Amino acid sequence: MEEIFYEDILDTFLFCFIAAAGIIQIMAARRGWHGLSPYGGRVRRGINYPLGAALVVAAYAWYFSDPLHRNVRNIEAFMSLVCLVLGIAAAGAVTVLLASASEALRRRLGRDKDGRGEGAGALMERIELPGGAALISTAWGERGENLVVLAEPGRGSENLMRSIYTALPPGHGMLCVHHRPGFDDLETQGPDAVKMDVTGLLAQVERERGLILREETFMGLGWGGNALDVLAPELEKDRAPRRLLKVAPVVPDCELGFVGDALLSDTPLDMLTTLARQRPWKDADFGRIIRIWLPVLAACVVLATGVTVGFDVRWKLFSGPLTGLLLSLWVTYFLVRRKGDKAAEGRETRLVSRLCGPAPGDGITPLTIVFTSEDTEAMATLPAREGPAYVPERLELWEDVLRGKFILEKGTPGRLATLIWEAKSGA
Amino acid sequence: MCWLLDLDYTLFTWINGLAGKNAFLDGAMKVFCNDHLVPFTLGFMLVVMALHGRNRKQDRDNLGAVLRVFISIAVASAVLQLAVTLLHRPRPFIDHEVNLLFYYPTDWSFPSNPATATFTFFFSALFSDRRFGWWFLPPALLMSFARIYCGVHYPGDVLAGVLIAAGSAYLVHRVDFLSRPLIAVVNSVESRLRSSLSVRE
Repeated sequence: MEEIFYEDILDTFLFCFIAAAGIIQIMAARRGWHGLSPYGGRVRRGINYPLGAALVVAAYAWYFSDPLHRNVRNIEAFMSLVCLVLGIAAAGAVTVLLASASEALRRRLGRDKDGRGEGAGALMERIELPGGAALISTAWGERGENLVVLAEPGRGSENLMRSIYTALPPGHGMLCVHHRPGFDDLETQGPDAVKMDVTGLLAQVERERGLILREETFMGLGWGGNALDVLAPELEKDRAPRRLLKVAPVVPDCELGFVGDALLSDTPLDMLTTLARQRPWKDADFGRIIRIWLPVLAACVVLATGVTVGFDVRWKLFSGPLTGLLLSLWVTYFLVRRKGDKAAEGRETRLVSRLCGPAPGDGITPLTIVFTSEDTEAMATLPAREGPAYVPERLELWEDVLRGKFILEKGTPGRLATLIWEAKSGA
Repeated sequence: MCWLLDLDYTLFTWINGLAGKNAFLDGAMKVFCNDHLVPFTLGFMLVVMALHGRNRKQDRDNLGAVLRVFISIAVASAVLQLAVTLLHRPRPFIDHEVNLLFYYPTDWSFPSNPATATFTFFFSALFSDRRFGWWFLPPALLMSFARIYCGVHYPGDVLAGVLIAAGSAYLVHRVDFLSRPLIAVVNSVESRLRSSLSVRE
């Protein structure tokens, strides 16, 4: 028996795409994945639920209103599956693009509105250093009236620093050290290497600018907050800081073994730029896996395509290479495992193991830790951190404030300024 | 063997005999019999399944479950193709007088394609997630019943599809090494992306 098909691939793909986009919007709102907000800022259930539901209903209504899609022989099962998978993938991709683009636009408009664009840029000077970069305010205060920040690298972090500086009271200086590999790579570099790098960066700025960075307030932001754990003894010995502030340090979920969820607060573009900075392709394990995979891929694609062409399988030049790709991943996995590769253990597992380790000792410098709202649940899973670093007197919880792109919301620059100012006057 | 075919036909006549007596029921069965409605709905339910967790641990389990569904479908399709190649059973309307509420499918009747596909969704989802998996059952049941009601499948075709689906899903879940590599790749990408936390503008 021979089937006759009236293929209607584009309509079916569009149907899957629209319905999947709607479902993704509903689920993003339900999970609070603000990074996937298609209109920038936070996802709002009041918008996302009706929007998602409307997309799903519209997709079904449009597709099944066509008599061609009701009890008429149409596209075959395999093509339906392809349309479904590609439609869902396209919906995910468009959500990612839309979320990233709208947030980039929101940031640009926000900068212009707050005058943080060119004006704020002139207030801080960027210095390129070996192993990192520094932003230093053109004005520098008396000793003890300045803020030294250990910040993440990248333009997004530098823009954040400029915004924070504009929110601080006048008459104070601010130096931001952006360690290029990033403090999230502590596990790979080792704490000693990070100590040396940061000490070197600070010493270089001191030499170039004729500054003495002693008795100032030292703040670690994000991963920089975690780096302060490592650097605090060195800073206390050499620089006698007035106060240490850890703002939004990364709190791992020690029970489940995760360091956090970037979808809560970062756009996919943010995540990709962070990933690009980490350069996972430079890992020795990655290179080794690729060297094993490439010949396996070539062999599997040739073999699978040979079979699909030989047996004249429908869509042979698509299904052959695709099958070859899947087969190559499968074979490579077992080849890599057989050679005893530990890459599967992963960077995140190693990070969690370090961050859930013993609490740092109690230093002599007053310390304040600021947690954002998403860290509260994870904080409860820190069994090893009952020690001095997390005593309630030192904790400040910024409720409703999220890390990532939301750190400047809900009046946090002002709160930060108050915190630093109080830190100074209290010291 | 003959008595089995007789029993199958008797069951078919009971179910298909209901067609044409109630316009509302006929309309509803035509809707569920549709080639696209139930399979695509089950596909969208997979998206919900992948994203409905409460934390990253559950997300990983759910992503693994969705991958296993697709691998189960691949295995079930292979078994189905084999069965179709070996056994050629004509559609009910070829050999008998039936109440046909559907177009004339021109492929072989045994085993039922839609029953295999929809029940593979169900069994695979159920083996991974005992709670969420049950949501896949009503659409699968309705579609399979509607195919008999509308006169395009015998109950035996549906039963064979269900057995192929259950066997394939069980195999994929039992023989872990079939799905482990793909799940490891997906978990690795998930870990890299979702642990890329940053504090930025």
